[in-house]
Amino acid sequence: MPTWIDDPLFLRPLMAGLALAILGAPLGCLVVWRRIAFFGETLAHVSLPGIAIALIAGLPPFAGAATAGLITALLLALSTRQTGTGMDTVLASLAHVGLSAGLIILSMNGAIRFDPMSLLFGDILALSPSDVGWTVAACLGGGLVLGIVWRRLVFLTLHRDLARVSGLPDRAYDILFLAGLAGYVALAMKLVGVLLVTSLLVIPAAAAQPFSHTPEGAAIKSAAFASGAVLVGLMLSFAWDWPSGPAIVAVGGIFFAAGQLAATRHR
Amino acid sequence: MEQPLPPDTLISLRAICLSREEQSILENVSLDVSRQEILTIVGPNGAGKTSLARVAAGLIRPQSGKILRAPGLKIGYVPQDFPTDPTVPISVRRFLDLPHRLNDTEALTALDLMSAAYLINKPISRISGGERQRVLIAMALASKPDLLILDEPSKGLDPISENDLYARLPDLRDRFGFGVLMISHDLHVVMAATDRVICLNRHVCCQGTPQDVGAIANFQTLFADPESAHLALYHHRPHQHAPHGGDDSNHANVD
Repeated sequence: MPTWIDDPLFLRPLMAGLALAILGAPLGCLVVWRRIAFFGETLAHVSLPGIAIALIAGLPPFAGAATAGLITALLLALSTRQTGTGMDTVLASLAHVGLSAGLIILSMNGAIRFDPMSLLFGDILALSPSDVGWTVAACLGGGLVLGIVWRRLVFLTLHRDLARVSGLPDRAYDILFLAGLAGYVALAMKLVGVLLVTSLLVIPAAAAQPFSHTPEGAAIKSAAFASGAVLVGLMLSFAWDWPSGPAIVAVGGIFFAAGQLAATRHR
Repeated sequence: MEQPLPPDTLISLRAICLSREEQSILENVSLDVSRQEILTIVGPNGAGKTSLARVAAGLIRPQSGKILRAPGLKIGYVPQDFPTDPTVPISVRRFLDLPHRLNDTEALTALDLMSAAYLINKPISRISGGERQRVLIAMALASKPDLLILDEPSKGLDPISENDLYARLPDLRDRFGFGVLMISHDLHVVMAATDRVICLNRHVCCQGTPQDVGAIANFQTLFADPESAHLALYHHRPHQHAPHGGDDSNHANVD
């Protein structure tokens, strides 16, 4: 048995990672079903300037990331396409401008030497015990809310018009969902970083789709894939000194590829 | 000043004007649907039929005009289809549960009304457009609506199923007592199933019984090509545009 297996340095990120994996599964399914993977990507990228400003102001980075993500999510949810520019174009521009702005702000601040790599790809060893506690608690709270609104979000995702005629206030649920997404992205940032955070949502959900017959089944299978990716990824990271975020994503990618292969053979 | 909703009216659209990006879609459209009445809207492509159905369903807000609904009016809306191919893995049975949970008997009964009971355990993404259409109608029926809004309900249906649907509609209406606002592009198919017809081409061109509207000269040309459709419209609206003066000889009410 390797010596790190019961080391808090391994167990702490594992616990936070599993909590994020399990909450990310149903969220990720909704992201995949709604075809808004790029939206999540943009939320993650624009949180970088939020983090940078928070670091300079001496505030917790999570607060900066969540605020930037929330503002962006609300603006995008409420903006009606008035210029005729396609949504994908807006999102792509916003994502990269956000990323660049974050790096510029970080570079301007000579006082704090901050490694942008840890923001971009995650720095799991920096997780303190209280970070883990907060992450797990937030995931539980988020999971509870998601459980309550799940059926309605699925209905809106499947057929917005039918849901609206049946009396669902779609805007309110959109905002709730996007706010939850922004919160999740801010939370998961420490684990896999700004650049990889969407993959934690999208890849396990995508891997689960070919094997799922119900929305809940998809969420559960996606949670299993995500948890497996976190577990195996972290083990690889500790065994071979791989960067932990990329290791988790790479394992998830293998699950995804294997799932697609199995599904094509199935047909 | 505003007239209240007559007791037997389910919904009343009054002077609805709708435009999008400077393009006028509906111009001063008024209509009422009464209890147990089947009203069909016909008109060419781009006439604003779907927009009108969506206005009535409360999905889009017009720029001006009033929509009065009977108190507590329950609307069953049947859209043309899913906006994109459904990505959510879900069976027909579970799909029917989304607005309100149904028990198995209720779900089966609703599907059976559309001869779609065999679909109950199929994934919604694996059934054909016509089958989806039947599931959507079954879903609307299961919600026990007062007003059923059907947007091209026969879209994707084969001719036999199409005839079957229109043959069934008056029976369903008698049985459940709802009113129907139905969109169609083909008057002749829906003729037997409808009590009243409104001919729409952004504005209401004419209305009356299906026989009356069908008998109007050049009605067919409405759907032939836009050029002659325009001429036909002028023909229908002698009060406003007619190049050749008052032609009030047709039976339908022109307003």
